[in-house]
Amino acid sequence: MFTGLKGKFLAFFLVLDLSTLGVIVLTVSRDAQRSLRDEVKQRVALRITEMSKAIQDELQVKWMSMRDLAANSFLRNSVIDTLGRNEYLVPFMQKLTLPGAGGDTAIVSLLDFKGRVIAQNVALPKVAFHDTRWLPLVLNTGQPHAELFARDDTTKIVLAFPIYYLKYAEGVLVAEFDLSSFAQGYLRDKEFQAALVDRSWRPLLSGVPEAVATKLQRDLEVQGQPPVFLEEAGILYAALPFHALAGTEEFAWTLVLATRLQNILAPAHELSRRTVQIGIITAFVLACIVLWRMTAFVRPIQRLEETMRTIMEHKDLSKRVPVSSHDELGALAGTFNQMLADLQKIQQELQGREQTLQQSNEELVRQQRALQSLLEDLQRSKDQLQQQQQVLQEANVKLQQSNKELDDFTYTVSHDLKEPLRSIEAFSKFLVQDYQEQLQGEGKGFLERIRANAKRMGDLIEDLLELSRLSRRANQLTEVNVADMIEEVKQRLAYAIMEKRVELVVQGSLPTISCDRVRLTEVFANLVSNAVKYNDKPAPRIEIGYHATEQAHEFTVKDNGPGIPAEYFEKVFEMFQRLTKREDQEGTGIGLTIVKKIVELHGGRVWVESAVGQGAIFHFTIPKEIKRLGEILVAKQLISERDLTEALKEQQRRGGGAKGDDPATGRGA
Amino acid sequence: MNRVVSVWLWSVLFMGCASIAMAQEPAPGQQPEPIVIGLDADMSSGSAVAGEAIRRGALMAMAEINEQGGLLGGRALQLVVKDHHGIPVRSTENLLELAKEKNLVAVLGGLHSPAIMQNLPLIHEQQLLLLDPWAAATPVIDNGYKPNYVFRISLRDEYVGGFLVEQALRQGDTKLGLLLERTGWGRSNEKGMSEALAKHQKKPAGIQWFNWGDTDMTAQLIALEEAGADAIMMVANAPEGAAIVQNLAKRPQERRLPVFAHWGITGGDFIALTGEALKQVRLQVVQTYSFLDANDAKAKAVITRYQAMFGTKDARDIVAPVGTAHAYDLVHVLALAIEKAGTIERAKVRDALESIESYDGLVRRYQPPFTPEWHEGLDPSDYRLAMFDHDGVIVPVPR
Repeated sequence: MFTGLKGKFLAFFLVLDLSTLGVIVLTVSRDAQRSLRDEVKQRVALRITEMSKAIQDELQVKWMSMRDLAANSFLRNSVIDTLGRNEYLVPFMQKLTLPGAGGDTAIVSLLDFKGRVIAQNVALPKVAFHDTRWLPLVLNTGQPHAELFARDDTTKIVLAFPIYYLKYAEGVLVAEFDLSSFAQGYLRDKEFQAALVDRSWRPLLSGVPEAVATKLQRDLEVQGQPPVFLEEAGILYAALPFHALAGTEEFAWTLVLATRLQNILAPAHELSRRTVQIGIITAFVLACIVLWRMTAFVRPIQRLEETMRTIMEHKDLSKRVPVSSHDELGALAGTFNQMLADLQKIQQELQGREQTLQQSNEELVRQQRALQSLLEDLQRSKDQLQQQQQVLQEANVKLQQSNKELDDFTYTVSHDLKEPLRSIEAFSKFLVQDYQEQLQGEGKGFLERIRANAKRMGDLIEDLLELSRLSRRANQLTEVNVADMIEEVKQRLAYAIMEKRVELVVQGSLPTISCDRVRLTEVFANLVSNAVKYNDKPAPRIEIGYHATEQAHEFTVKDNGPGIPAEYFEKVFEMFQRLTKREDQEGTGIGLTIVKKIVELHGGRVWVESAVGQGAIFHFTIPKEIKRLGEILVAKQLISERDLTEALKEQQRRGGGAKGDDPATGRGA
Repeated sequence: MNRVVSVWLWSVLFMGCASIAMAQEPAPGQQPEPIVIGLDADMSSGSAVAGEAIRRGALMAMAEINEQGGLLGGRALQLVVKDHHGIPVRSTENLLELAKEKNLVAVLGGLHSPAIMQNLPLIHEQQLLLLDPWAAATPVIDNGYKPNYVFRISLRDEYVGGFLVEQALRQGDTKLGLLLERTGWGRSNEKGMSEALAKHQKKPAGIQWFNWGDTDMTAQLIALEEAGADAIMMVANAPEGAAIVQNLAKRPQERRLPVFAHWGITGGDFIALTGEALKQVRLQVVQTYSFLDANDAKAKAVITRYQAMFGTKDARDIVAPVGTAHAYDLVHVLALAIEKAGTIERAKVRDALESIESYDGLVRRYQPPFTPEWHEGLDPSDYRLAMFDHDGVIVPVPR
């Protein structure tokens, strides 16, 4: 029964409920008993005090009344006025009662000094007082007196007050009444049984069992603060000693209240019983509610389980759990359904993908085959390439060989050309020296032209040798002061400068840079030489400038010469390109090509800006950080060689006939 | 107090007896029995002064008689005193005791009329010859008994009423208010005064009563004032009388009524009780006798004896003089009767009292003192008014 979720919940609830009930019953009952006991004790203490006070008050009010009556001159006169008093005393006495409870039952008597009754408030029977113990006491001491006595099994109280005339007690006013007449009313209590005992614990009104009396007496002696409580044989006793009349030993009474503990604790027991009853009923009702609610609670779970089972058994993801609530279970079912939906969707997607995969697979096989054939093709191409490479390599070797041969050729040609040229020069010189006077105008002119062309030929050969050397050699990079370099160039070109009255100016300061000293000096020399050479102004001026860019030193050589048209900005750097007629100008046409080569060998750049008639500015840069000069040189070498080859071819194609280089440059092989 | 008084009393008696014994010289071996006279009065309470005055008067008379050899052949007179506090029932007890006295011949009563009136049956039953030197109630004598065993030498309320009413009227007070104690004596006076007024076609302006022991009579005084009284006829003993005077003294002077008092007030320590208040109140009291204006030899002898026996120096020192004078005269009249009867047998002595022809007493010459029909020794001609002087001494108002 308690195995399912429902059962477990129910069992858990019942255990919880019943144990709570048990704890409540135990603690509540115990606490209730304790507080009831305390409360009852408090109530008893209050009640017993009230009762004793009431009794005290009752007695006191009667006592005071008697005192006042006895002091009344009317009664005093009545004691004396034996002959006439009947007229007024009797009516008075007939109406006389004492105040308070039972006061109307009190027998009040006016006595003479012998205790004879003068008058009473009752007609009959007249009570005799002459033999009482207290009468002489009252008359002799003159003090009021109160006493207890028993008659007909009832406790009676006598209050006797002397009636004075001057210093003598001439009569006595006596009141006699039953203790019960005023006390009974106060002691009657539906909750407690009350007993009043005298100081020897003799019963005055009801009694107390002797054993109890003994214990209470002992407790009263021991304990300071009355009332004292005693529980004996299932009864709670409380005892409170009090003086019913102050100053009278006989009225030192003890009031005892008794009540069954059962009565006290009855509410606690009743509470426990009720608690158990209500607890059990509540538990039963709640159990039913729990069962009912649990059934409703478990149903979705069962449905969930059933659906899961169905899915597991039939692998059917289209099944759904009915969602009937919006609580956590509803959410669970919803999530579960969502999960099923997702699963179903995934399943469908998977199926789709499977098909695609199948297709892809087939495609792949196809592609693989194609690749295979492609690979085979590639292999074939590779073989072809290798063959081509080999051909290329062979061609390259041939090329290098032919280059070498070309270089050698150039070198050899140059050297070889120099020898005949030197002979021509020497012989033409001799001719001039030895036959100057023989030669007439025209012959002399021809001879001069031979000499000039021979010289020009030598310069050309020297420049070609130089250019060839550029390609072959690489100097070391050194730190060079450019100003020194310029100074060197000035000295080298001193004659030309002086001759043409050129003003060479260095604008600003020049730096110290890392470069191939010899070559860079060549650059400046070429540029300055050109500027001097081609200047047609009466006051030629050349400015050398410098400024640093981020990565390079930029130098400028500015002249105020004829300028260069824009279409020649590039061409001027090509070999044998000249702006003027060859005849007009000296020079080989290789200088700027050498300049460009050297600058590029340094990783820099050279360009010109100019306008015709307004001079030209040649710019070139030298990187601040020069990469390895060798590499550049090697890289450039091929080109330079090719360029050289190209240049030579170009030269040959043009048919030679150059006028020769400027001898002032001092260039030689 | 009571005890002191009795010790003192007994010592005096002893001396008296001794002197009698010496005078008589009785036969060897035979001691004549004394003749006992009882005194039943308030000896210690509110009217003890009256009791003592009576005792002194009796003792002086007895001393005289005993000095002269006693009676009936040498029998000395002996006084046995009983104290009844003014309480009738105590008097009953006392009379019963006295009745047991073997040689009792008569009993002197005290100030209080009720004490006697209460015991008239007993007195006659026991044939207690009661001689009344003070109690003034008319019924004390007019008691209806025949033979009547009560004889009086004192005021008679019937006449006191008439006397005081006459005195008041004479003094110009026409509306008289009665203020009386609620006892037989008071009622006796109410009757006497009312009758006296009736003779003048008057009624009391008001009648007010008070109880023994009352200390505040202002209400009664105001009642009388409002009743239009212009004088108060006061019947009270010393304690209550003093209270009245105290209350009266506190009234505004114009409303402070003059008082015509019965003499009960003189039986106690009235002067001490009233103090200064007495001087504020115009009070006249009825008297029968004063030693202060008595010039006769008998009076002088008594005064001398009084001073000798009681240690006083002056006639002014004799307190409650009427009690002393009356008792003195009564004992002498009794002595005559005993001699005449030749026995102390009370019935015979009683008879003898009615047949004495005359006696020349202190108060007056009794001629005869009593008759079978008339047991009053005095008459209104003996009545007179007196006042208290500054020392509290009762001084007679000149007639």
